[in-house]
Amino acid sequence: MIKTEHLTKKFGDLTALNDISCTINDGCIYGLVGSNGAGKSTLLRLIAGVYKPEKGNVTVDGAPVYENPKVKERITFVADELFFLPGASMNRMADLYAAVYKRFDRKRYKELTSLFGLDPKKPINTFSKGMKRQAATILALSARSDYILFDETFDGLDPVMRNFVKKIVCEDILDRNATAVITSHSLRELEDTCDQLALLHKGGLILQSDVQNLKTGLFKVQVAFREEYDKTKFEGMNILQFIKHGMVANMIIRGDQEKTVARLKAMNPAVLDVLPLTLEEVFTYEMEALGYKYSLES
Amino acid sequence: MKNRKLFDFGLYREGIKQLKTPGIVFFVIFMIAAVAVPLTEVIDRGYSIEIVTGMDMHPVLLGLCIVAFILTLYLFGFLNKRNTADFYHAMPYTRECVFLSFYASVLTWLFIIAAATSLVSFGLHSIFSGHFTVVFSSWLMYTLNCLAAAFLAAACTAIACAITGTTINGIIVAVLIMFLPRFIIAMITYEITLLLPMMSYTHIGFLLEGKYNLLTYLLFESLGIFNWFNDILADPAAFIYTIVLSLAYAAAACCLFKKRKSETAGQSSPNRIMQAVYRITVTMMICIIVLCLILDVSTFESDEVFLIIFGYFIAVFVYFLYELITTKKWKNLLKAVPALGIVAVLNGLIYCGMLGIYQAHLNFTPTADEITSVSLQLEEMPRFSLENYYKYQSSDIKLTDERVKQIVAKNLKENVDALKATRSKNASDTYYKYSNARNYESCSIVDDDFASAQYIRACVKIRTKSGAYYRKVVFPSADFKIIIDSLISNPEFQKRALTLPEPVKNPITFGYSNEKHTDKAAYEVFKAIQDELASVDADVWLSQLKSYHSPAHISYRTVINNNEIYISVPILPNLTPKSYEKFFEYTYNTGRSDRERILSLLKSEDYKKYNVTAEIVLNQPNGTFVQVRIDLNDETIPFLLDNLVDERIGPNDSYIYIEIRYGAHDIYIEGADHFVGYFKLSNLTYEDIINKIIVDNMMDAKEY
Repeated sequence: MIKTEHLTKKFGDLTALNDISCTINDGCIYGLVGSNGAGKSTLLRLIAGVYKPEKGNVTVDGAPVYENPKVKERITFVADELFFLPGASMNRMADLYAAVYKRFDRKRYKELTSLFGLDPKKPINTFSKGMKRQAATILALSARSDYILFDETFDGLDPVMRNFVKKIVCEDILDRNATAVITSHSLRELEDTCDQLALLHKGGLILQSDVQNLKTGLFKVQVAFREEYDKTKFEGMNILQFIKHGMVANMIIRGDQEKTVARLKAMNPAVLDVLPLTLEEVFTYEMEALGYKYSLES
Repeated sequence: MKNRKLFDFGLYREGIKQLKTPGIVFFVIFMIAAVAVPLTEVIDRGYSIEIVTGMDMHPVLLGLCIVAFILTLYLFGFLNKRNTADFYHAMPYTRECVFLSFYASVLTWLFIIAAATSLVSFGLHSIFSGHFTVVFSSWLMYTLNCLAAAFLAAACTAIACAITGTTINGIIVAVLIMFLPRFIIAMITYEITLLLPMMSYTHIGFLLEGKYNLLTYLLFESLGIFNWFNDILADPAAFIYTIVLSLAYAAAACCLFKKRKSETAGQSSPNRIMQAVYRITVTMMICIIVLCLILDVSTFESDEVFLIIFGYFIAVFVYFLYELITTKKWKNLLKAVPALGIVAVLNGLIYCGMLGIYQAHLNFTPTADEITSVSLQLEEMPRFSLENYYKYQSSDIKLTDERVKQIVAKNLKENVDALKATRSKNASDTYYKYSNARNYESCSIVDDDFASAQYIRACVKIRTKSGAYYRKVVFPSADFKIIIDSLISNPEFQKRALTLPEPVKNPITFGYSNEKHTDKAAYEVFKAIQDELASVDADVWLSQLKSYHSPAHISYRTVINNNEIYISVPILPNLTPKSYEKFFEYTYNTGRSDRERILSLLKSEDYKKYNVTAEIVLNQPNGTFVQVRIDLNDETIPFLLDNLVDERIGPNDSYIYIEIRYGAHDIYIEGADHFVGYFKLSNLTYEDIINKIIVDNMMDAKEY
């Protein structure tokens, strides 16, 4: 289990992360979403033991990560800016990983290389950007680490390959009961992959929740009554947003969907529709409820 | 080590792999040089035998420092890019482990290059033993010293990599770490020795002498500041100092590497404080020069005020320029202004230190009672003649005579007083009355030839209870003679004067011949001289050395403290008669063909095509000898041919030494005809010579 407690990281005068506390349970795929400069990469580097926090700590199963080879041995970090040795082929990089990570699985490496259709003898610098990301993913998965940290790794892949890579990663994580932390600035990238999601904004952890809870806990209702009404009619409901055009009102409500619908039906509405929310919309409304102005695509 | 906290073989092997390309390139370059040097020498030199030192054998090995610099920058270059720094810092190792494993990889490559190419060089020189005499100790020390200098360069570069975040800054800081401390010390000591002419730049105290830091020494030597190249590169003290310094620097690099933040990658420095340190350091290089000018102005009436102002202007310009170049932000110039105060404070402190050192050395005038002993010093290593060998051997002879101490104390005081008077206002140029003083190095210690000079300037090591100090003191020649007499009568010096060091292998040269004799018989002649000298009276031997340029002498090379020394020993019939006989027996047996050729040339007109020199040594009835250089021509040759006989020369015989060589005077042509012969002269008196032979230069005649 990865645990961060009151984690703070500064770069000169800039506070990149401020008092972050979170828990990443074993066996889950944890998504970190946030706009550029939110602190996603910094958090990942702190978890990987690259950065030393100014305050707070990062532990894996209770042991600190920074300068602790035993813990770092269990973590593989795939950075946003990939690194390969100059002129190296995938096989050369595999040698490096094998020297560094004791559990590096050559068989799995060969399987994945063949699955992705990459030439392991070809210099990586001749690969396309997407192929490089595939190569980095293959190497990281072959390291057989308990924790794999992907920093915007899937963002540069085409949709087909992105789904393929996600599928491979998910299978690998499930098979080995490993844990993955994936960052992205786009929630859509993480929506169908992650078990847990956290939102970082300007160095702070705004929201952290189970994806399923997020999706079911918030829903949109379109309702109309024959008589005049306003928001007070729905007292007792946790309405995050209420917009009324004419007789029709659109509401974003947090709570038990079935109970809420039953209560609304009891009010004898002329129109009652429950509309599904995308994860992006859920995040948007949750953020607005917290007083943040959050643009999902920014 | 499995815990990956200090060292990891896997990472070490990875470092070796990553350095494979530049390592192999440098290996090939050094190997080509190691093979090419002996082969070229063999082709160029022909069959002459040469004693070769480590530097002669493999001069390119000096470049190992540059290799160390490049390899370290290459391997630790990962620190300068965010993605590479993150990659390596995310690996399951401690930072110490990454540093030590990678640093060991660099050192391994340096060792492989140095060891393999030096061994090949040694092997080839040994294979061609007919051309080279290899001094093993010199080769070994040279290789070790080059490695030590390279290790130091690697350590300095590693420190620079640990505290910078860009390649250009890494290079600048590495160069500063390597050379700046020594540059500052060298500037200060140079300035002080310039202002205090009685101080010796080469003897200013162990740590202050740049020659022990092999890395800076290589640079200073290439700039012509020092001149002891071979000597220092074979000095164990230099090796120990440099290797200890490199270990200290490597430890510092490891600590800094551990403290380094990964996010420093791509930044000119880890933080504003370090940026200010670099900026101030660069500026202080200029300021040191200006401070020397200020010291010059304040202690001597020098008119360099404009230069001082201009120097500080340049320093401030460099201060801001560095900030602009490294940070590329104009707004940072304003932020850099306050740290100029630190520059000012540093200038004040260093100036006070320089002035303090200057005053302390200027006022060093111990009384005779305070001096415990005195030794005469040679400024540089002697290379030629027995005379210089003796001077070298005298450098640690402690002279404790009261008169010597008084002379040294009195003259040092007078020198200092004269200097002080010269530098005060309205003073006459008293100190510079010594400007025509003759140097101790250029005068003999066994002859009174310095008596003709008014003053002698000699470097003396003055031992006091508070330590030993070296001073160049100008003595009146009469005073200096007393010191020399004290040296000559010193029992330890006399013992050394009668002990000849062994030749390094052979060759031994006989007389003026350019042939090098390598056989056993030549060594027997040397042993005879060595044995006979041991029982000779030292006073008589030293007093008669004035005739050391006698045609009867042997010359050979030896190595003392890894320094090659050329020694020429005269063979005097009255002091070493057995050697004298053996010498002529040897030259008679080996020089037969030369003598036949000389006689044949002299009998024909062909000798005119050659350059001919001749010297007659006459045995007088009173047992003394007269040595006369003569000119051979149509008038003198018939007379000489009538009187010389091709027989073995005995202890009481007069003889003539004739040398004939093709080519102009003083120009030696490789491989051209060159004949040398000693001929016995039958019944020829000094008067006969005067009357019958035109004397080329009678002033050359010496009696012994």
